[in-house]
Amino acid sequence: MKTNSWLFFSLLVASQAVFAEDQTHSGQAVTNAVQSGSHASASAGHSIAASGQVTSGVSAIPLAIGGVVSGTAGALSAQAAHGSAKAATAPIGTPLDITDETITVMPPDEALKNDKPAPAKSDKGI
Amino acid sequence: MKNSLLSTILLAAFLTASSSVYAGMGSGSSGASEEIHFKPEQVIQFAKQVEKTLAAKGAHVAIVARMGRPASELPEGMHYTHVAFAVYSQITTADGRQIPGYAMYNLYQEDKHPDVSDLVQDFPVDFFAGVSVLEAGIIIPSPKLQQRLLDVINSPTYAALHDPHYSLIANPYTLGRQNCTEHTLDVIGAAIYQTGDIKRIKANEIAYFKAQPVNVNPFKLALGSMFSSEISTSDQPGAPVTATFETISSFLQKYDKGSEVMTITPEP
Repeated sequence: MKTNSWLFFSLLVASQAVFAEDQTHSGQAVTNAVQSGSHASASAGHSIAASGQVTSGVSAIPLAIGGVVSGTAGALSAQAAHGSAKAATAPIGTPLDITDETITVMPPDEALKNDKPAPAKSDKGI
Repeated sequence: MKNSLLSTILLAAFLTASSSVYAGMGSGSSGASEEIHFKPEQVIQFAKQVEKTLAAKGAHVAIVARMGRPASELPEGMHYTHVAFAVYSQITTADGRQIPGYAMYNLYQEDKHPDVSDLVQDFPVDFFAGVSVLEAGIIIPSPKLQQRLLDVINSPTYAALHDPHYSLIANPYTLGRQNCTEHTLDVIGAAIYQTGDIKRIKANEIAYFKAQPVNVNPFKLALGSMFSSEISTSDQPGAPVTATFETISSFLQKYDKGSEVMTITPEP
């Protein structure tokens, strides 16, 4: 009987503390369900890709300061936009050119359509 | 008998309430599989605004934070739920063009195994796709630190600093669990001290970095770790602490003269 009473008291105290904290700033998290990351049909990435306003990016290589693109033989790609080549050699803090296009990761269905081998992705550190 | 039944009911209620205590903090470092809260064009416009702001500042590397949950749902001292490096890059498109822009270097939890993380590269629109609030926290390090960060990001050290054992509230002073903010901090430490020696990095973090106390009832924390695989206290020897965008920001503002911190919200 004594043990049961102690257990009851302990749980009562603990429970009251929990419910009280539910009303506080940090406790408001209690009321929200975790959003599953597996709802592909409603996923944010799917919605963005389906908007038709984005361009799929295959890879990205840091444009190092000084004109050398990491992962290459030591020279900027001949296909690099003039703006990016110029900007890469400028000191840090000099305004940089960026594309007006919105780049997104390639959705799996698009990747399956692409028969050409993707350019080597810089995997240094990734 | 009556006491037994009442005890059981109270225990069940207690456990149920506690199991959802971290729901608001959950999915902090998730990829673009999160549910979208804004129209795609809103996210696209905001992501491009962030990119253009970084580009106008001439930032080759920046630390960018997003709000996966409203601030009101997060514990004290936490405003952002995920942090990553934005790196000025040459991007190859699916149709073979090469254009300049920013790539995001993230540590994301795996969807099916939230206690495991990977290093994942995506782009600003993917980064902001599932946010609850269109707001970005930005730290632009000094030119010197940016150069050193690029050196680390482009080296094996970047991946070597990654520990895939994920905890939402990982302790930045210890090893064994890591979240996006701790990995970011470790990379910053590697850059500052030009080392890949994790022991040296941790020693300096203990000495100079002030982590954020996790202000959640210890009982709830213990039960949360029982019910949610993404929450662990195995790396917390004492009162739990974690790294946040805000604490990293304070650290860099104190020790990296020339660094700049800003908040970006959608242009009217």
